Amino acid sequence: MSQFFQYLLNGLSTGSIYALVALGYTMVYGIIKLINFAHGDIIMVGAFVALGSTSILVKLGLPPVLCVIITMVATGALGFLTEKLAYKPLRKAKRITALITAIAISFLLENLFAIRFSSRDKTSPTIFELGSFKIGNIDIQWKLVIIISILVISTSALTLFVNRTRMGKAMKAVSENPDAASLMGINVDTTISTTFIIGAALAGLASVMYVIYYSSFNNMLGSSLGIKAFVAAVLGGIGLIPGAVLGGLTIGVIENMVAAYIDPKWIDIITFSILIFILLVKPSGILGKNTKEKV
Amino acid sequence: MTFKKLLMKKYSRRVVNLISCILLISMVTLITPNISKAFTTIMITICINVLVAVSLNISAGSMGEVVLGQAGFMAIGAYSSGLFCKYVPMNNMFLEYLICIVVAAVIAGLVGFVVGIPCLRLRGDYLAIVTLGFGEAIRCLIENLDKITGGPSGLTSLPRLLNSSNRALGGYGAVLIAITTTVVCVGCIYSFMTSRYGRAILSIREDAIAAEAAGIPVTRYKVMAFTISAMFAGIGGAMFAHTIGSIYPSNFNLSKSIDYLVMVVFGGLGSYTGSILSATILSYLTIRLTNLAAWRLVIYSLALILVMIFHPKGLFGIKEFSMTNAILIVPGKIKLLFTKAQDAKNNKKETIIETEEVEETENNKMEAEDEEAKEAEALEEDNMNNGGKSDGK
Repeated sequence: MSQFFQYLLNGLSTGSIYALVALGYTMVYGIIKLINFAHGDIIMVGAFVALGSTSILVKLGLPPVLCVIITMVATGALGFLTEKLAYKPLRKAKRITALITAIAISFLLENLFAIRFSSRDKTSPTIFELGSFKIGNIDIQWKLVIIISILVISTSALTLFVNRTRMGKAMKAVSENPDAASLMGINVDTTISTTFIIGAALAGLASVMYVIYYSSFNNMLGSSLGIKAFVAAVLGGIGLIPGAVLGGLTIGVIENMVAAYIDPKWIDIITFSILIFILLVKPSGILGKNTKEKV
Repeated sequence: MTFKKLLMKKYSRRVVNLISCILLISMVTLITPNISKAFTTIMITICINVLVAVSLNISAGSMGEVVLGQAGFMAIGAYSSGLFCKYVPMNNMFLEYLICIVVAAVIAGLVGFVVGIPCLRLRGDYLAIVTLGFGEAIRCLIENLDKITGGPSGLTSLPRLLNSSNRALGGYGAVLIAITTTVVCVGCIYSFMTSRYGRAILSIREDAIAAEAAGIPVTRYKVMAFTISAMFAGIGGAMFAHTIGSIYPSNFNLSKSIDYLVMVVFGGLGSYTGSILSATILSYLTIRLTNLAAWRLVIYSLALILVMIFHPKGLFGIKEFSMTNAILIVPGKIKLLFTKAQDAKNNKKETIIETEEVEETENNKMEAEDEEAKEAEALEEDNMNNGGKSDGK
């Protein structure tokens, strides 16, 4: 039984990473109805930034935890740049055009990093060294506690931001109807850019969580993590913040259970099967509402 | 003028297209006996890529849905033909190849049908993701069913009919077989897409709701398009297996699917001649620029972004290249260019001359230009309706 709780805890912490990435997908999809394929690769970039910045911070004698801020700023800037350079000119174009562009950006980042840093595995930087503590029979690592609490804090902050601030309300309005929102005096372009920046900064946070949790990463981190986080977003109901969290945690737990009780080889197939199943049964996700198509 | 009218007749279009096809094929066959081994490989690769790109164009171009799992169907074709070769040994290599292609087409088509029925209820982004999921799931399955497929270490020592080192036929024969397979398949696809079924699929791309209102069973036609697309991708996969002789799951990953998507997008989503041309050019470049292999994907993705932002129609848009039109329109357009250039020259010289005269001549020219433009438009429209096809390969 104690083993089961161990797997559950591991599942919740991988799930937290997925959830944080899924939040980025969900926010962008909610506002401009685009599956931002490049989102996963922003996390990959974030992991490289975290690796580089920790070594610099250690040299300067500063605490390596500060790399969280550097990474979030860097990925936020990257998100802003991709939006301005690639997606903004396509705002009025067909959705298929934007989708292909997003795929292309994802490939561009992956391959640029493969050339610059080679595609071998990199060892994750040590951001802090913490042991573990025991509750009953269960061995709980501090890093798992930290990862799960980062998710809780950032999700509550995001919810507060979206519901209470002017910018957050503007985001909701733009996702509801951009034209009406601009008639109400909301600057749609700024709002969309802010959404991208927040989503990408969350991705930066996720990449720090990733390097805390896993011991190594490479330039393909984005595509596998991105697909799983996307599955999570769809599972919970794409466009919904609570949906992304619920979906992420569910996928994380299912994955760890499959790895523990069936066979790690089948993780990917089961993830894809969940995606296909949910899209066929209820495309709007667990928390989503079915909408009728209007002519 | 009479020559033009004669050319515009439906049957003469066919004759022109047939002649240009024959010319192209005979040109290729005349060149091939003297080619090197490397060039044989290039020719065969081009044939495979053209076929798969054209098959992807059915679903991505004509049906208008992004499919990110084409490599998965290729994998099914390759593995079913490879396994067939392995378990049913035959003496006649050519017969084996033919049967393999049929087996690959049937199995890939069946999988496409089974996958298509549930998936094609979705649209747009969701469909793209689901096909991506299926493509990857197929690859993972092949990797995990290692008792049948050999897992990550692949299926090896398969017969290599379409290879320059083929003893029975030689490189020349291999190229001929590859070209024939591709031409026959592309011809089948093209005539299917210009039939009433093809038109129904096009109408779904233009407006699914209007098509449904007009009595077209949308889901059924989508499944049909998807199945046929999967079938020909499977044939492409079988050809691939027969070319390199050993297949691995990693041959059919997501980046392969993206490669084909890039080809179709460059050629113009919906244009078959466009897909053929861009697949030929891109696969030639890919092989020739092997020392730039690392940069290839970077260049591809950059080019894809730029094409999407500045010229999302691609090379041909949804139009087809047609020899008849090339004969009819291009000289007119060149003439137009010349007259314009001359106009500019004349205008410079004649600025001193009275304005009235200049105006008059300009008016005349405008009229003439208008007529030319109208004629060209009518021709293009006509071409869209008749579907002039003129490629040989």
